[in-house]
Amino acid sequence: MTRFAALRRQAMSRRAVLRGAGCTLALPWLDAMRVGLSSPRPGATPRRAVFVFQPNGMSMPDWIPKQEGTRYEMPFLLEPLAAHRKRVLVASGLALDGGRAKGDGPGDHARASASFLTGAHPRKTAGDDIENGVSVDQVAAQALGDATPFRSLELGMEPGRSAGRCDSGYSCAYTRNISWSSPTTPVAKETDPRELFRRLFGDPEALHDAERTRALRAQRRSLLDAVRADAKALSRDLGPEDRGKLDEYLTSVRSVEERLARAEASEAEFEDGDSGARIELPDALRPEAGGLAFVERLQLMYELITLALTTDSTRIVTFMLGNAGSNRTYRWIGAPGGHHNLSHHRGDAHKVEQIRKINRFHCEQFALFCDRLAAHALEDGDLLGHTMVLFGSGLADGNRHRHEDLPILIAGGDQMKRPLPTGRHVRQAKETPLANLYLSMLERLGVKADTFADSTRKLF
Amino acid sequence: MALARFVARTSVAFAFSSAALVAQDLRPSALPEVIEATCADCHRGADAEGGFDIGQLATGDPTAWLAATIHVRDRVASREMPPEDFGALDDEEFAAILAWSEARLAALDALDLPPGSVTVRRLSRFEYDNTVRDLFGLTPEASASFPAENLGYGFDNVGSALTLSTLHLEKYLDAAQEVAELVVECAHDAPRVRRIFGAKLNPTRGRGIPAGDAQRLITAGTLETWIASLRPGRYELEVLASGDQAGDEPVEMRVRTDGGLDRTVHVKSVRGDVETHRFALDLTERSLRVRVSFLNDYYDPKFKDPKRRDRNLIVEGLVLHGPLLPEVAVATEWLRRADPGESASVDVRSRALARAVARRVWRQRVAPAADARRLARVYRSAHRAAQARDAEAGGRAAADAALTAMLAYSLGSPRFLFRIEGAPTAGTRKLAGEEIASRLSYFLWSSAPDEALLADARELTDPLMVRAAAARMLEDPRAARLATGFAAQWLELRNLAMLQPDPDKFPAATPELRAAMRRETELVFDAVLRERRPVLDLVDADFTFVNAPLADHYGIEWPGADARGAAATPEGWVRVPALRPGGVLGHASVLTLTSNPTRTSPVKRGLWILDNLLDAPPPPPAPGDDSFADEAALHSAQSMREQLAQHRRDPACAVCHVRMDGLGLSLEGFDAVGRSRVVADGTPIDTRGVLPGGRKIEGLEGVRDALRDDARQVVRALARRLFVYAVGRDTTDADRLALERMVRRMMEERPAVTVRDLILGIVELDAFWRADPVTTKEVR
Repeated sequence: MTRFAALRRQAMSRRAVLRGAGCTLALPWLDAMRVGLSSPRPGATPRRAVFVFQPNGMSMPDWIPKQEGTRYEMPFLLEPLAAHRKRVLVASGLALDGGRAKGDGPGDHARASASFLTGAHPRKTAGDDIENGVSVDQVAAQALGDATPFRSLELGMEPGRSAGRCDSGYSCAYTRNISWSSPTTPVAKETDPRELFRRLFGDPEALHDAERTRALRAQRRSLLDAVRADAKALSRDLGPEDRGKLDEYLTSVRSVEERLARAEASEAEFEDGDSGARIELPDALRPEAGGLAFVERLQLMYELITLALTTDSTRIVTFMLGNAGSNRTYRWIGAPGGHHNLSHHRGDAHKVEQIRKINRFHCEQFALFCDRLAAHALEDGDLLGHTMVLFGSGLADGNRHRHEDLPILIAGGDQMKRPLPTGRHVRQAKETPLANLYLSMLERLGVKADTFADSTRKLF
Repeated sequence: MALARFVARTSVAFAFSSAALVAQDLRPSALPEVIEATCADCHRGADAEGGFDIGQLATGDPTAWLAATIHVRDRVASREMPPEDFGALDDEEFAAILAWSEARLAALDALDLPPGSVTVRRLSRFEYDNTVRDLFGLTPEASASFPAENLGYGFDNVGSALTLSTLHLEKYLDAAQEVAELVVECAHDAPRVRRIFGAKLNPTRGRGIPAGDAQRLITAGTLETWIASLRPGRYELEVLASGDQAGDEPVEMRVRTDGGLDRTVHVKSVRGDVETHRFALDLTERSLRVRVSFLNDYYDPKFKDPKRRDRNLIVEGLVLHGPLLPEVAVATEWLRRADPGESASVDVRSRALARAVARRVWRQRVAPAADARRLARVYRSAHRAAQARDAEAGGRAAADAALTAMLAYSLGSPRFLFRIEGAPTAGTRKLAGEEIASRLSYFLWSSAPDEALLADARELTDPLMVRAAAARMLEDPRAARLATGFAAQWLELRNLAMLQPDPDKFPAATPELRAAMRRETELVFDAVLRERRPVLDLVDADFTFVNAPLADHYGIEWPGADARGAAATPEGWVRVPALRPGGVLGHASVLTLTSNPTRTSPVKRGLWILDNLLDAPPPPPAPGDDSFADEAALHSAQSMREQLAQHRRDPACAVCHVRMDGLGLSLEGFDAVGRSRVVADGTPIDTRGVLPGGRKIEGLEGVRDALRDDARQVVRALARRLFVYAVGRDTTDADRLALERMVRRMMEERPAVTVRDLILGIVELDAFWRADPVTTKEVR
């Protein structure tokens, strides 16, 4: 008798079998994987927004079209978006006043990321009393998030440095987060595509098994109950500042609970029918793909964002292509210098060329993302048409740390009700707050807001 | 001006000759003439340069003039002030200002300033991993998927910067569940077993034919599989195989995994008679690729024995055992000891375990009744649920489920995730012993107090006892985490992992080599601490450590390769006489992390020294000024020197660059990954530098000597960083005063202050063992 036959007869717990199955990707668990939340629920097509942040500014001569209106010539950096030209709004002339020094001295990179979606002027501190504003994505997430398992997703490409200072007396909280759920709470971001997939679509080991999924949920729920009781009891005994920390904890407990409830609700809806979408694990995420190069990881993140939107797992996403002041090298496109070093080119042609390459690379990748969204058909158009995708930087010229005339564009959203005036380049009066654009976006998203940050009026 | 100078000098002579009189004259209004003469031109009034007004030296508020005095002393001591174009101070003036500031600071000793407040601290990833490892014996990987910490003041354990968002909580709950399950599973000494039948392996080369559950390779080829969702650790891989034997040699099977296993074995058994080949694996990733190859295909239809004409490999399957965690059983002894066992009632058992878990996981010497009750309740309800689910489940299954639930809860609770220090009080209070125990263990071990420390906790109520406990704790192996936790952040070593030296120019600087660079410096720090060496040894040690790749990098023969080979530690490190002068300054780690991807950066190197070793970082440059015009030209080290010189001609730049450049240029004898060089791009390297005040230095020795001459400041700098790390917040004026006092006292006793002295000194400070009054800061 072979040893294996003997092994096979050994009693294996159900759990072990599942584990074994879940752990070997030779088995097609992912192909068969079913996610209850799929096409959006009946009724109005959901409205969505994605915010993509690029660090270190942009090579502005290659970004701003010379002409305004619909018949502008696409400069070098916008060329990759030519296919979507009619669906893109290039919004020039916008400013982030909050990013300026206002007597706080250096630290423009930290202020650029901190103010990017908040429009606020972050308090200069390397640790104590972190304070910024609430970001526009979080405002939207609060209003729209009830409908989806995730109120919002916060993603990025770089976890961040793990020692030293981040930028000139500013805490790393400012340089590596653009989403802020309260003025004192930056929303941490996921940077690992595999983790993101797991977070979105759950424990692979439980996918085949509704019973186990239920058991896991019940387990998670009682864990949440216990820790919440604990946090509440603790909170009573603490001083105000410490209570603030416990509040962050309690808020998170609530949000995980809500997510569980929403996931269950959407599954219940699909219980009878067989309308669940099949989720394919992107090939590059299979473990056999091994370590991922930056480009692969970047494309995966875009792909997963698309997946999160098509499955209606969330409607609000923020994505940091790099942390503020990122010094990543892009050797494979001929830019071996650090991004941040290069951005201070002082007109040096050799450096400018590398910066152009980096900027162009990200514009190309962004355009591919738009392609993906456009390829996903919906009943009344496509996913891009129902998603406003903002792309830009909190600095204009990285060389000089300018916080006005920012490189900002919005792709998509053109099939939404009362869409933004896409298909054109619109130049605003100098010093028009970027927050004005956010106010317009919030309105299109169906979020009631009269003002946002330093907004003065709606733009469109 | 001449007159002013003259007056200044006489006053200096006076100050110098009679320190006692000066001490009496520390009334805020009395500023010595030398200060007036040197500083007043620029630093007076509301529009004072750099926002510093010497009026602050003479206010009625001691905290204001305390800070201002330190400011004056440090700026003058570093020769940052007065700026060069103003005219340098002569030796007497220089000494006078220093003497005056020191005397003034000494006179402030009696000042009772309010201590700063510490925000409740969430465990950093580093602390989380170490705590889990110490409590449960699990290797530190639990936090791998946690979001990166927001550093505060350069460290990952500063409470106010450690925010928490939903993503954190999700990961905490996942990790809590995972750790709890593993602990309970491992308690029964049953590592997970994963079995993969041969038929399920993917042929990536050659032809594989499924045969029942097995798979037969009939040509030379490879079968492959991926096993995901693993936890790093030690595994045993079994390959079950047999062969169709043919020709003159047995079947050759090669087994490879990523991470290094590559073994070729003979499979001698004949089909149906399976043999097992075992391989040990140390897994560092979360997934594993296994490849099994058949190497020596053979087919000879004319071979005399018809049964030996075709050679094939038959792979029956793979069995992966692990992670093998014998450490868990050892580490969780405390849990087993607390367990009254299956004979006890669920009620009794739940309460006994709850007390132990509260004590160890929640760091409560004696758990408040309510806390223990909550833990016990979770245990009991999970027990009931398990029995309800499966009436046949034995007592043990239900007990396992219950223990898992209780542990998961304890690890997900804020009582574990946050270091909470008692209830707020109106005034300053002494921390309770168990709170001190926790502060000590997280400072020195980056982990929870162990049983021994908890047992002593009641006694930890005065500084001497705290000091004694700390001294004992420094002898423990866990104190090595001061090197991997504190030093790796202080010296920015942790950043080595994310650096991207240009692989075309520096192909050797792989992640492995960069990890070795980091380790060298950590080992030196650890040795300086343990061997009670002076702080200055960090920049002047006569020893260092290398492993084989690092020795290669430094261009020395690997000293561990001699016949005895006894010198090398199991991890492959050997202690050797210093390869270069200057301690960590000559380490590849520091030289690499202060370089740009393609070239060295004298400015970054100078800044690193000023910031970390002297605690006197120059302010960041004005926007747009922080780079050079011509990157291409900078590849020549000579032209970099010229450009820097050009840059310094602008007085606005000179004031800081004069401090950085001289230090950095002296280190030009090392390239961007820390290798020695005498020529760069065909130009001989010049390692001369000029420090503020005109002192000329050359090379690593020069930098070292300069630091040696500034020993007091190096000690102060380390003391302040240790303090921030220990207490988890920035230093207040009161803290700075206390640290000044501490360092002065130590240096009076013995100039060669050790790293250990500083650590023991810090745990004696008020700020360490007293809780601060509640701040009434508004919290949104």
